[in-house]
Amino acid sequence: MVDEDVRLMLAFRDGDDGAFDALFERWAGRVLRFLERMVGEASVAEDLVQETFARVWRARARYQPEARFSTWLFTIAGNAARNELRRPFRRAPHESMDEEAAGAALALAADDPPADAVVDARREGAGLEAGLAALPARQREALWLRAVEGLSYAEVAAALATSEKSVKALIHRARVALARGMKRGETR
Amino acid sequence: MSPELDEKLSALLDGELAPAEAAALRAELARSPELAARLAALASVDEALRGLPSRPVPAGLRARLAARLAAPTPARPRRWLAAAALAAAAAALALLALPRTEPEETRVAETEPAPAPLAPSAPPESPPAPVPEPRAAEALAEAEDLPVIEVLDVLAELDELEEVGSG
Repeated sequence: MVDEDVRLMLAFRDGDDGAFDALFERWAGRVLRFLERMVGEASVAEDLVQETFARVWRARARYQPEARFSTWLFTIAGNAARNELRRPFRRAPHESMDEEAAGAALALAADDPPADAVVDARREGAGLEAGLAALPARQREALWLRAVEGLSYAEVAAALATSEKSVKALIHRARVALARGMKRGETR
Repeated sequence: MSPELDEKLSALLDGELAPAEAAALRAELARSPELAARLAALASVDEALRGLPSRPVPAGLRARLAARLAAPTPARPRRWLAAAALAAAAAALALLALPRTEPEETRVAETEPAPAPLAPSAPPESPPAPVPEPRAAEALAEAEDLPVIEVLDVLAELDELEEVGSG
């Protein structure tokens, strides 16, 4: 059975522009969420969402359904993020996010008494975002694609243009670093 | 815990172990609370990541994309523009690398056998030191700036081609 996204992409390739709208509806949110974590700045991430879908648009005639649509889409989005990160004179990646996350964590720590579940969850989220932002870019990308987007090691390897063996190591290192951060957060 | 064993825990979480290997590891997990706690800690990372908030796609994003798609496509022209920019940069660099254009007499003195020095105090191999002309320096700065961006665009295009080739 052909999955719905592949069906839409094939329809789009064959001239149905409405299918492109449907793909945007289905995927823009996840791509935005991914790109925000990759580049750390909301406005840049939005721009890269456009870039990603513009590339899908331009590549439609050459589209071949050999891989899952999501793997193909996140490969394009990942390449766009990596191009952005290696631009000369770019602001240090995640500068703003680090500050924000650290600021949020501090603000939450300051009003300590009302430590209800919501505050705990928000504090944990802020710490996790900061930890994620501090990871090397490839570790961050590999773990996100596996843990959040459900790509297999083979699919992540294709997206990062590397081997499954190195994907396995990247994902594990990222997990270990974040697990350590979460443990520190608990004992604080 | 050995690093190999630790990495296997991740692979187990990800469903990437061969069935026999996974079964062996599960048996070991049942015996070792420490190992089980480690697995739980790693698993909690994924759970927390999936629980991170995501914001809705801004309302104007689809419209901005449509405007971008309707604009004359920069994709193909950029390629030759990048090539042209590179060629211009190469030309600018080549110009700077060449001996400075000197007044007529000096050039003659450089290219023809030097006549007997009139002033013995002057070192024999000392044409006037080249001083970069401000114009040329500006041109170089421009040339250095421009193509870097364009080259990245070309790389992006190549990435895209690879994606299509492999996807």
